[in-house]
Amino acid sequence: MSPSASAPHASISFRAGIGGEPIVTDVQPSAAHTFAPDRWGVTVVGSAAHPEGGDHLRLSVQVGVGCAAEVRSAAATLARVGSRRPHWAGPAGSSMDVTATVASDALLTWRPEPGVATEGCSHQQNATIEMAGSARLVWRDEFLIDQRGVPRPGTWASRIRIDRGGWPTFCSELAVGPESPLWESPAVLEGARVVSQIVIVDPHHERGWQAARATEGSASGAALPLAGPGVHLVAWGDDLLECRATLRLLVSACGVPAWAAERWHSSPVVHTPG
Amino acid sequence: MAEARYPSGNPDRSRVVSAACAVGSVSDLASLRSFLHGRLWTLGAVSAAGAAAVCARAGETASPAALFRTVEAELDARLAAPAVRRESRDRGGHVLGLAASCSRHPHLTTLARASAGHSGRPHYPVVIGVIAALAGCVPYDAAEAAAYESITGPAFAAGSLLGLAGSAISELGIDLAPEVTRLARAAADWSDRPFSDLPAPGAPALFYLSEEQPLRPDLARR
Repeated sequence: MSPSASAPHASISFRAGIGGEPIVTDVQPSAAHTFAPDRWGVTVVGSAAHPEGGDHLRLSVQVGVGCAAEVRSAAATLARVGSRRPHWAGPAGSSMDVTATVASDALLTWRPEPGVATEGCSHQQNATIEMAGSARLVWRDEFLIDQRGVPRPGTWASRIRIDRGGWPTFCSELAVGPESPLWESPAVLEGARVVSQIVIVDPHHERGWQAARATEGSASGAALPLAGPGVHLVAWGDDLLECRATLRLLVSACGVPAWAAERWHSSPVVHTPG
Repeated sequence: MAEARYPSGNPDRSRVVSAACAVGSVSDLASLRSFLHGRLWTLGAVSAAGAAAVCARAGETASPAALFRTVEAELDARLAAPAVRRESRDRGGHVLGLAASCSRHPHLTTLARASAGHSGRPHYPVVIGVIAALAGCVPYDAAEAAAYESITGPAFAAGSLLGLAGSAISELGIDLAPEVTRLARAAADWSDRPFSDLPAPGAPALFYLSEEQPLRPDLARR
């Protein structure tokens, strides 16, 4: 059986209620993910057993016209090396493909808990987002290496690709861990243990975006306006809370619209009509 | 290809590496090597892959304008920092001007028109790819030129800033040459892939250093 045929695929679709609130129209859990819908969107509940080496998971979210939905996760995602393979076969990597479509005038807030690379694992996370030209997006992506003095740290690689109206808007790959040949370069991540990043896209934001830099403890970060209507905020360091604090400084410095500033780290925003 | 190697004399190229020297993340030959290695396999890889992909298509495309617009958008999406995009366009515009003074091929006019929104300054890898195709080069050549270009300027700038001997920098260049060859081969292999599948390695620390804004004191709590 090919990996794609056996890949567990979880999927959830929303349409807008009369005031734009998310209404679940279709939900398909998989062995690795189930969904706990709420007034503001959905909490993804991952099985603690996945992903492990050899897993190829898929998760997709569809947000219908004019709908404002938020996706969170119940807990951090732990990538593990896995025990199913015979010891002589060598470690196999795991992967997870997330696809999201955001229709006209819709808004998606994607803010799961961080991904954690545990000892010896090798995980590839791929996010592909297709947005309508008028749609808005907050996409948070955080990943880190498990710190507890392991002799052989794991590797977590993340690729994010955002297309707006069929045109590429953002495309970036970052990885932490010894399997990434670039991880320790002073031009890339300086060997940081944690990466915390957000991409915000808002074609209706008229004030524009400013480039900014910030540091907090061990973490450094930069706000980088995209060529299109959006900004990429990225922080890296040795502590997740310091990275988040850096992002908070950047959010206030780079001119993020109020709706995005309140959504990226606070409690879920219940959509109010009007 | 002569004009592709023409020194473009852009002071921007040394700004990032001088910032790296100033904050201490590049302080000696070993850290400079690591810095250049990182730059080569991030910005250099994006540049080399773009140049090779353009070179492979520019010769036979029925619609060069559509091709150029697509690659420009892909490069804009990958070069996340405004200063890096500006630098790439400045250099691209410069080399395109040189090329246009040597040749009247319609592709060069189309390319200038496709980037009219950026005052006729396309991204550097697109220009290199087109020039390579017009000169009858293979994608590997275009990728190699773009890959070399991504590290030579910073290498010599850092050498003078850190007071390293010219011979040490030349040795570093010899040291990194197999990496450049490896990258150019990989870029040539990628050149028939769809543009969306080309690699997009980010370089946050480099982007951080490339932004001109001084660090506001209220944003630093080290």
